[in-house]
Amino acid sequence: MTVVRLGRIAGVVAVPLVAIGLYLGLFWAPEDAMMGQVQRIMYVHFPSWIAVGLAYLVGFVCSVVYLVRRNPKFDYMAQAGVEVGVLFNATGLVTGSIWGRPTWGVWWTWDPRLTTTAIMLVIFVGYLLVRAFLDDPDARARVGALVAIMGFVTVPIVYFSVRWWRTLHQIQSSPNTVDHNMVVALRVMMVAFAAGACYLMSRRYEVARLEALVEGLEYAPDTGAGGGGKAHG
Amino acid sequence: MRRTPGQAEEEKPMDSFTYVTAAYGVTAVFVTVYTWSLERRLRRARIAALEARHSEGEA
Amino acid sequence: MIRAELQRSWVLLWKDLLIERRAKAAFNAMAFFAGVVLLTFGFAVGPDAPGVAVETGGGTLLQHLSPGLVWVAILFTSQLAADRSFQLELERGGLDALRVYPGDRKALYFGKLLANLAILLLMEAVLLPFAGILYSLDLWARLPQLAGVAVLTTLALSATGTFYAALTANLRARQVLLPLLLFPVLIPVLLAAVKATGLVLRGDPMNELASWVKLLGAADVLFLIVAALTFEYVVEE
Repeated sequence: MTVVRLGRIAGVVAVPLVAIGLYLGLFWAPEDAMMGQVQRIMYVHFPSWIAVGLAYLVGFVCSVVYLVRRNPKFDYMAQAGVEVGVLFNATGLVTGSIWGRPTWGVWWTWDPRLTTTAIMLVIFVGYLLVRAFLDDPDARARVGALVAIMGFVTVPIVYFSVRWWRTLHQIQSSPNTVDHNMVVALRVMMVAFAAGACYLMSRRYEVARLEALVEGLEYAPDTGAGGGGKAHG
Repeated sequence: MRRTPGQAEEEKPMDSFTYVTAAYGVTAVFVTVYTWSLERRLRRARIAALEARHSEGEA
Repeated sequence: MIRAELQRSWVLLWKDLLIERRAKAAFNAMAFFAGVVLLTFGFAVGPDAPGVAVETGGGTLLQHLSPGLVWVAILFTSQLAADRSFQLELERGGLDALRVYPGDRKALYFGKLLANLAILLLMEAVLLPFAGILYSLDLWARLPQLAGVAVLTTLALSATGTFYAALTANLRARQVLLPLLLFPVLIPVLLAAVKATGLVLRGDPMNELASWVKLLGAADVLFLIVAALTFEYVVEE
């Protein structure tokens, strides 16, 4: 299975990159002039969004392809994409909140970008919840795909609406990333997170594929097997 | 209360350490727990698939 | 071909409206529900809450919040209306009747959508005067602009409501899942509606209204296109 092989390569690449990135971000890159050491959170906060974007994009594209082609492999991959996306979406939100506390004094500032990602999280957790309520694998895949598609295309609208909603009251601030070392550290972590996300998606894909296989075999008419436990989607 | 970036500079180094550790820690925990439970689920699914195919072969 | 599709939408629209007209109780219940929500908000905020600064328009806190409260009440009710429009089908023998209906699924979508839109607009026509009285708002002076905002917003509510209601129609947990899926996607619409309504009622010194109206329009177009294109998959099997 090429997905598994590519996933393994991604995993092998991710581990050293994370290690290098951690060293670069936590020690090698200089402290920020304005924000101090706290700004180092950036090296784990921004890369989350790369992983999120990649994963949700995979979820969206595979959902579209599934609806058209009905090949279950695309459903497995869509599910993997959304689940991994939700994981990094959550980490991004938490690290963003933690970063905000010493910077702005509050845990949540309704910052346009963070707020958009909070809405994204709700949308895609909704995807996972709807799937949990559907037993028929075909219905689950189809409904899931539709939820993912409608949810994904709404994100740009969400972003602009929240941005306009907030820009009158608050200036968005980005940490100063002009420093070359900072850029290097950030880029390394971004690639590391992207590779990590690919690895996790490939594993989740494999889980979905095997569980579907077991489900199919369990309900096969001639099988006398008790099965290896209930499979869930 | 919003603090200016200047005030943020006055944060004791200890506080910065706490926040940075918290952020990196949370990310590490989330990713590790997910990866570990995923791998466990994968192992169980592999075994179940082998068992099911084995029984299917016998039936 | 398009003419036939338009006719089918039209037929569906009239069918749904006729059903609603005969079952006036349901419309009344929905309108009453919206009214109760507005009343509840009134109690939650309270008319004696401290006044708001003159720069933001003066008046009580309740008046200041009223666009938000009204649109949330309408949002809640729109979810009920969308849910109901497909439960009616299910009660009468399932979505199979709809599936057997000839023609392009888009016609089905638009028929349902327009019926839902008509019902919601009618309900708003009743609800907004009530809100005006309850929260002491002067709606009459800016009626055309308000109507414009209401139509654009309600179109988005109907477009997404019809889509998600059809999608969740067969699920046991649909009463939890429908709002859960619908509300996040409608946040931009809610933001725009509340902002636009506030600007219409209290003045628009910096000419922001156009941006919000454009956002509503863009959201409408996006939802309509995506839902229409995928509706055949929504009501499948």
